[in-house]
Amino acid sequence: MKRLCKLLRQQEFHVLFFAAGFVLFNWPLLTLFDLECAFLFAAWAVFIVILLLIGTSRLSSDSRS
Amino acid sequence: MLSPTVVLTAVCLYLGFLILIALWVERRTAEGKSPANNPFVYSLSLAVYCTAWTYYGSVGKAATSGILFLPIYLGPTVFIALWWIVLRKMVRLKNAYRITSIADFISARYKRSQPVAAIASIVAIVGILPYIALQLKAIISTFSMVTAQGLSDPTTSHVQGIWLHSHVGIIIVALLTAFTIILGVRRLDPTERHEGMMMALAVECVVKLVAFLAAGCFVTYFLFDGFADLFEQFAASSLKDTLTSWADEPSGYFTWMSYFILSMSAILFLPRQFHVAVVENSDERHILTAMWLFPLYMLLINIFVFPIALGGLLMGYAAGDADRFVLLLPMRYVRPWLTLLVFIGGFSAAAGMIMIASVTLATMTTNHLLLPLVEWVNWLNFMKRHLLKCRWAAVAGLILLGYGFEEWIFQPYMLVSIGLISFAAVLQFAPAILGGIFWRRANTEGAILGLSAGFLVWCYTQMLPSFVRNGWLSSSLLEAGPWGIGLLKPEQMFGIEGLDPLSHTVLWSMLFNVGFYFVGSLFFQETNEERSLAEDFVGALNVGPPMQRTRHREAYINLEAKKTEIVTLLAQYFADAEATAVFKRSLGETGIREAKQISIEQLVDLHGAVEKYLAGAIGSAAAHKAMQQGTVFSPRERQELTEVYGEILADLKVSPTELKSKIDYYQERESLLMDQARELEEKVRELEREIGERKRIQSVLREREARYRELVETMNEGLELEDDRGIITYVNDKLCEMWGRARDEIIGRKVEDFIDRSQLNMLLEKMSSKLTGEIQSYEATWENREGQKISTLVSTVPILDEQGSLKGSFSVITDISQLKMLEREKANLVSMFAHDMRSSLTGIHGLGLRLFNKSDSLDDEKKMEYLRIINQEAAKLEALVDDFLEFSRLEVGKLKLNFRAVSLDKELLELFEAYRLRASMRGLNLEFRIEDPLPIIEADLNRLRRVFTNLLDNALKFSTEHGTIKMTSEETDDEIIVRISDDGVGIDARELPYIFDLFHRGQHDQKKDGYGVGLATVKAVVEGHGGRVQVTSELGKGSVFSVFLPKPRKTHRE
Repeated sequence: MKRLCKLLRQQEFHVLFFAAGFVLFNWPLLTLFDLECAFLFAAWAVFIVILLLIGTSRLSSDSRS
Repeated sequence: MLSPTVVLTAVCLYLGFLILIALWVERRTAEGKSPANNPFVYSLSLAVYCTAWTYYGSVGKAATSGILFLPIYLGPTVFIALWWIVLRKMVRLKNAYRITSIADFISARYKRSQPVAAIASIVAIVGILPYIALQLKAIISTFSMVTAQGLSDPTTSHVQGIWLHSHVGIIIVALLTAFTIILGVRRLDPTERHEGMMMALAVECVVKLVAFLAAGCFVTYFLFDGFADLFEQFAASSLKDTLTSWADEPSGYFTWMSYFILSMSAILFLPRQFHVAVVENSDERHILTAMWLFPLYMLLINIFVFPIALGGLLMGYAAGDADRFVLLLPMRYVRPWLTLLVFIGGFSAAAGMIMIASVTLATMTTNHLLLPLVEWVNWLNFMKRHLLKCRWAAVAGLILLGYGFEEWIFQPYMLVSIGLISFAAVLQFAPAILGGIFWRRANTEGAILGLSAGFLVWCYTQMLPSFVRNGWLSSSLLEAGPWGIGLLKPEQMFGIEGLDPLSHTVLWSMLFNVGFYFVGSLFFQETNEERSLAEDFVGALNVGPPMQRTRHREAYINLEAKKTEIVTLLAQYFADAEATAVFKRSLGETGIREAKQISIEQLVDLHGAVEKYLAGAIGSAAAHKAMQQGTVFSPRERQELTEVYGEILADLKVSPTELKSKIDYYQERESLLMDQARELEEKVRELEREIGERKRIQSVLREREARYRELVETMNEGLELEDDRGIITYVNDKLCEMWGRARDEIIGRKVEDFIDRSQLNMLLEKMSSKLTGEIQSYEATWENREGQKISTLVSTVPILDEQGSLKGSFSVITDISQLKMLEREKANLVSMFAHDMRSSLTGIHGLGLRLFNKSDSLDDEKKMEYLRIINQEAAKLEALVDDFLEFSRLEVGKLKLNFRAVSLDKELLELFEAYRLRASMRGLNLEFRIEDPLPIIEADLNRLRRVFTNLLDNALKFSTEHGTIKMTSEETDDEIIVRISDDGVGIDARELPYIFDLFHRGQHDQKKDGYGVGLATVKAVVEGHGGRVQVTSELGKGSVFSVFLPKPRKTHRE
C-alpha cells in the first residue's frame, strides 16, 4: 500500500496516467467500448477513483510532512 | 404553465438569496473565518465549466450525435491528471506575481508585455462574447418556454405578462449586470479574490446539479422504468443507428479528438476557468480535492444526459428541439415546480458563467486595453482614478454586447456549436501558457506571433463562415474561396476536405499558432529579463533552499521621500486614503514599518510589494510599467542594484542537468558578470583610494580639532563664538570663569547681556562694524554674577562666507584687570616717589641755601643740626634710588648675584642683634631660635641680608604694640627654611597671590611707607638662589614668611 501511495504521488505517474487516459478515451482504443455509454461511464468512474487516490495520497503525505 | 411574473419573481428571489450568501461569506472572511476557503467550495466553483451549454446543450448533442457530447467532459477529466503539475505551478506563479487574469498571466511570463496582454485580452473578449451570448440565449429562450403557456392563463394579468415576455432579454441583462457588479466588482480588490462570489457560485453549481438530477430522475424513473427500460426501448428503436452514425464518417474520431483537445484546453484556459482555478485559489492543496471532486461532478451532471435525450426522442420530439428536452419533458407532464426548479437550474448554470466571465473580461478590458490607452492619450489620465467605475461600465458593456450577439449573429447556430467556437478561441492560449511554464527559450516575440497567427486563423475559419451564414458576406467566399482561390476556402484551407469546421479550425489554428510560437521564440533572442522570468516560471515548483540574502547594505535611503513617490503613484489608481493604506500594507509586508532609512534591498522589496498590490488592481503588465515610470532610482541606488543583481545571480545553484540545459545562458551571464566584475573592481579600487584619502584627512582633521579644542579650552584667554545674529554659540572654560557664569547661562544669549551698562553703546558700535569684515580690538568691562567689574581686551574676528556675508564671529577676551591695577599702582608709585624725592630735595635745597646765605649768623650747633638733616635726607634719597635701581634690575631681569660661602647662623644672629633694639624701642618682642646649626651655603651675602632685613622691616612695620616677632631656622634633607613670623595685622586672603608682585602694596601699605618693591625683591633674590618664598597669613592674626633655600650638595659644617 505504501508503495502504491508512493507511486501515485510521483509526477511521472501523473504524466503516464494522463497519457493513458488520452489514449484510452480516443481512437483507436475508444472503439473497444463499442460506443456504449455504460462502458464509457464505467471507465470514467474508474479514472475518477484513481484521481481520488492520487489526491488523497498526496494530501496524506503533505499532512504527515 | 408558469406566469412570467412568477418566474421573474423566482429569479429575483434566487439572485437575492445568492447575494445574501455572498455578503455573509464576505463578512465572515473579514472576521478571518472564511467559509469559502475550503476545497469543496473551490471544487464546486470549478463546475462553472458546466454552463447552460452543458445543462441544455449536452442533451441536444446527445440527441443528435450520441456519445459525442462526452469528450467535452472526458477531456477535462484526463487533463486534470496533470493538474498537480500544471495548475499548481500556475497557482504559485499567481501568488508570486499577483496575477489577475489569464491575459495577465501570459503577459507576466513574457516580459510583462502590454502588447501580449492586449492581444490575449482581445482573443478572450472576442472568443468569449459568443459564449456569453449563448448563456443569454439559453435564459431568454427557456424563460419564453416556461412562460409561454402562462400567458394564456386567465388568472394572470395579460398585459403585464406580455410586457414582461417581450422585454425579458433586457430585464435579464439588467439583473445579471447588477448581480455581477454586486458580487464581483463591488470594490477594487488588490488581491482580486472574491470569497463571496465563489460561495455564491458553488451554491449555483449545487443548484444546477440538483435540478438536472431531478429532471433526469423524473424522465428515467417517472416517464420510464429506469435506465434498463430506456435503453431497451432505445435499442429496439431505429434511433441507435442515427446516434452512432458520426462514428462511421471518416472524420468522426477526428471530431471526437478535436472536442477532447478543445475541452482539455478549455478547462483551464477559458478565462472564467482560469479565474476560478488559479486566481481564486487560496491554497494549492485544494487542487488535490478538486482533482477528483470536479470530475465526479461532471460525471454526475452527465449521467442523465443520455436518458433525457433518449426519453425526448422516444416520446417523439424532434432532434432539433433536443436543446430544450430538459424543460420540455417536465412541462409536457405539467410539473410546474419541477419546471421551475429545472429553469432555475439552467438559469444558475448560465448566470454563473456570465458573472465570472464578465468579471474577468472586465478586468482584462480595463487593465490591458483601457489603461494602456489612458497612458497613451494624456487627456484620459483622469480615468485612472475611476478604475472601478470603468469596470462597472465594462461589465455592463460586455453583457450588453453578448446580448447583441445573441439577438443578431448566432441565431442559426445550436448551443453546442456556439460553445465550441469559444473553446477554439481559448485554445490559442495553450501554446503560450504551456510553453511559457515548461520551455525556457519561449520569448515575447514568439508569444505575440503565435497568439496573433492562431487568432487570425480562428477568425478566418470560424467567424467568417458565421458572417456568411448570417448573410452579411457572400456565400461564394465559402464555396470558392476569396478571389476564387480554392486553397483559401475558410472551411477547407489548403485543400483539406472532410473535416468538420471545428476540427478544421483546431488543426490550422494550432499549426499556425505553435509554428509561429516556436519559430518566433527561436528566431528572436530573449532578453535578460525574459531569462529571469523564464527561470521563475519554469522552476516555479522547484523547492530549493531559500535564496541567501546578499550582503548587508547600508540603510541610507530616506523612506519618507520614497513614500511620497510611491503614494503619488498609487494615488493615480486609488483614492488617497487607500493609496496610503496600500503603502502601509506594503511596508508591513516588507517588515520596514518603523524604519526611517532603508537599504537598497529593502527598497526593492518595497517596490515588489507595491507592484504586487498594484498588479492585483490593474494587472502585472500595467503595474510593472507604472512602477517603472513612477519610481526613480538615484545613481547610487542603481549602482547598488546592479551589485545586488550580480550577487543573486552568483548565488543561483542548479543541478548538473539543469546546468547543462542552461549552459549557454550561464556562459553569457558569466561573461556579462565578468565584465561587470571588472568594472566593479576598478570602481572598488577607486573607492578604496578615495576612502583611504578621506580617512587620512578625517584623522588629521580629528587630530587638529582635538588639538584646537584643547588649546581653546586651556588657553588663558576667554573665547566666545557667535552666529550671524550675535547669539553666543560657544564659550570656553576661561570665559565662564571670567564672567563667573556656567556655560548654559551664556550660550544662547548675546554679549550685550554681560557688558557693563556704561559701555553698551560702545559695544554695539563695535559690533555693527563687524559687518565690514574688519577685526576689532577694544577694551571692555564686563560684570560677573556678583556685579564685580572685569576689565578685558577684546579682539573680535568676523567670519564671512564666500559671498562676503557675515556668518558669525569669534572674540578672544583677555583679562587685564591685574594689569590695569598694576598700571594704576605704578602711576601712584611714580607720583609718590617724585613727591618723596621732591620733599627730600626741597629740604636739602632749603637747608643748603640757609647755610650758604646765613652761615655767619648761625651758630655751630644749628649748622650741625642742618647738616645732620641734610645728611639724613640724602641717605633717604640714596635708599630711594637704590630701591629704584633694584626695581629696574628686577624689571629687566638683570639681577646679578655674587655667590660665596656664607654662614647663615651667623648672619641671622647678627640681624637678630641689630633688630632686637629697634623692636624693643617699638614695644615689640623679637625672638630668635635655631633648632640645629645650619650648614654653610653658597649665597650672595648682601642680597640675602637684604631679604631678611626686608622681611624683618615688614614684620616690625605691621606688628601691633606688644606683639612678638619670631625668627626661626630649620633644615630638611634638601632645604634650609628660615621663617619670620609676626602676630600683627595680617594680610587679606585676596591679596596674598599678589603680594610678591612688583609695586603691589596691600591695604595696610597704603598708610605706611614703601613702594611695593621690597617683597618683589625678596622673591627675586630667593628664586635667584634656587629657592622659593611662601607666605601664610590671616587677617588680624599675623603673617608667616618662609624662605626655602636649597642646601648645597656638599655642605660645610662649622
